[in-house]
Amino acid sequence: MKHEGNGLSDERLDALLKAAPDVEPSASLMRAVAEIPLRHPRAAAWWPFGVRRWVAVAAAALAAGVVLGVAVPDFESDDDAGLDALSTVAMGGDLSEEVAP
Amino acid sequence: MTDIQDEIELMRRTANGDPAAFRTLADAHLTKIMNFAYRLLHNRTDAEDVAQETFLRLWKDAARFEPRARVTTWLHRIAHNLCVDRMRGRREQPSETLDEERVAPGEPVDRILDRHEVAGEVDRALAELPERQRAAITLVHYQELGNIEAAEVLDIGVEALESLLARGRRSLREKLANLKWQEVQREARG
Repeated sequence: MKHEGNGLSDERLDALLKAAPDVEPSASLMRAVAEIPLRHPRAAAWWPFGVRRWVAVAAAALAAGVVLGVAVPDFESDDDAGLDALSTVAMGGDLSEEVAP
Repeated sequence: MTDIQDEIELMRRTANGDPAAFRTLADAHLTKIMNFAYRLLHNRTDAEDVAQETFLRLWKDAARFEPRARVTTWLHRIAHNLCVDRMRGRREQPSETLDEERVAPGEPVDRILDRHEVAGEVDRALAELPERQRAAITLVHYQELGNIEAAEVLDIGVEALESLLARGRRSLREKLANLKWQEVQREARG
């Protein structure tokens, strides 16, 4: 891309920009940065992006599902006892006789 | 293992509290981040503060790094946000280089400037750009990030970045048009 509109081409501008030298970090800055782990000790954080982490999470979820599936009783029932009990709680009385034919 | 994979592994170890991994990352990126902050803030003390704070965030927040970005992009984004906070706080105090004797804007220069003087003029021209144009020019020209990465640092789209670059370069051309640049060209070739 060339630009000669005001007498300063892209090539000249790039050369001028390159003329600005880099600054070097001071010794005190380098020391301060190197000492950050010493000045700010911390426990290991959880890193979520490793494959082993995901495998562990999936295995834990599977195990939790199995345990819950075995431990929690099956609520499905063929009789109306459960519904009667629920209506007693909800309506404050046993309605099964009132609705019986 | 590629450099990117190496850096992701270093980030994982840093997230797990490994000081050696942190120091390897700091050695690799400190000078770049320092220069980025200096070119945005034009004040060495502020730039060193920003660089130190950036690496403190790296140490504390390494677990937040998502490997879809390069480490350098992530660090530049942290440093940029810290620089913007500082600029908002002080609203452009006089910079170190602006305090020096300088050529007036637009004034024809009747002599060939030496490399140091040219660098000072370029520095001043950059300092006079609006913050986002200055950041775009710095990220692409000095930090050597690609347009996509530079746009990510500034949290804008690539087209918006290209617009900032075009406007920034146009302003720089106008500000620097009168410089005698032969010395620069000769040194660049040499």
